[in-house]
Amino acid sequence: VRDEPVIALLYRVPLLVEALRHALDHVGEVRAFPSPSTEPLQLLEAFMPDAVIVDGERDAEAALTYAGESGAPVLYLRWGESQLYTARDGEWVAVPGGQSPEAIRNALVEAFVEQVS
Amino acid sequence: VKPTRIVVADGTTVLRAAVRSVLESEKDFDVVEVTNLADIENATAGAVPEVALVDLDLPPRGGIVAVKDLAASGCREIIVWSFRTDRALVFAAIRAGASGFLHKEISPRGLIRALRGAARGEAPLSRDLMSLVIDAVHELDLDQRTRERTAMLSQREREVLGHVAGGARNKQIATALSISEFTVKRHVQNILRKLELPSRHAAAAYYDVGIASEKSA
Repeated sequence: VRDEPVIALLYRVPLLVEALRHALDHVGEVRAFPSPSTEPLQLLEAFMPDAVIVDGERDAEAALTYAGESGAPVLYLRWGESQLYTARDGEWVAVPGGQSPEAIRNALVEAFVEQVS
Repeated sequence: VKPTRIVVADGTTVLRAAVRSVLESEKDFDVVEVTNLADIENATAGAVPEVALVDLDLPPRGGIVAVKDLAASGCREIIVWSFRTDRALVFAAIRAGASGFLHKEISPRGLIRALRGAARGEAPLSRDLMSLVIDAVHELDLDQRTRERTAMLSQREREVLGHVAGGARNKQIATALSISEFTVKRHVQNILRKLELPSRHAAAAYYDVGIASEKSA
């Protein structure tokens, strides 16, 4: 049994880990995995995080599948557009409110709240 | 020790926050965040930063414009960073006045090292970009050698080479230039010797790359 949610951060940009380290302090325990991992879906299925944040296309595909299997909240930061997306019914939906560390934290908290309500 | 004043100009909030977090933990940087070109102008109006880290896609007109403005304002070390690192972009940034170019996938430690180096006057360049620059220098060297060899050809030899490149035989060249076939043969031998080429075919290829492209430039 976990004391707090575990958030898997599959990152292409190492600075993202730095940016989210403090922002997610009171939301959950962040475990960061550099991308590209060999099999991101296998990694997620084995690790079974309560939420996932990704910033790479290949990891995003795996995370979307994992969201469908587990119902876990999944966020995708697309650097090219500086836009945050959340997985909803097998698709990426843009999250309003920017892509600051606080906006990412808020989106994650909202997704957790939605999950339990 | 006086901290290095650094402007971080990037339209992506999360990256600015990351850079601030990384640099502030080091104590030897005084970080100013800006999100666009106008903010750079405001931030540098009072005091010129020692180092600037500029997003290549900085809103609204791109980082190259910002680099030129910063260079004109007296900023000594301007580093451009981006997810895109193709050669033309790197060179455009350097020509505009950037002293370095970094990939945004750089590690926090790598970023600190690069920015400290920039503050000391070093030119930070990611390892993969360094090989781009070295390749470009080699190409410049080749261009230079091509120009030097081409300059050894006489006007008549250049004309003959042009016909060779067009696929003409010696007899056809002789007729076209109103000279003897023997003279054409001698010109072709001289061309191959001066250009250090083994055959007419190689001479034709040389003309296409070294002379025709020079004419069209």
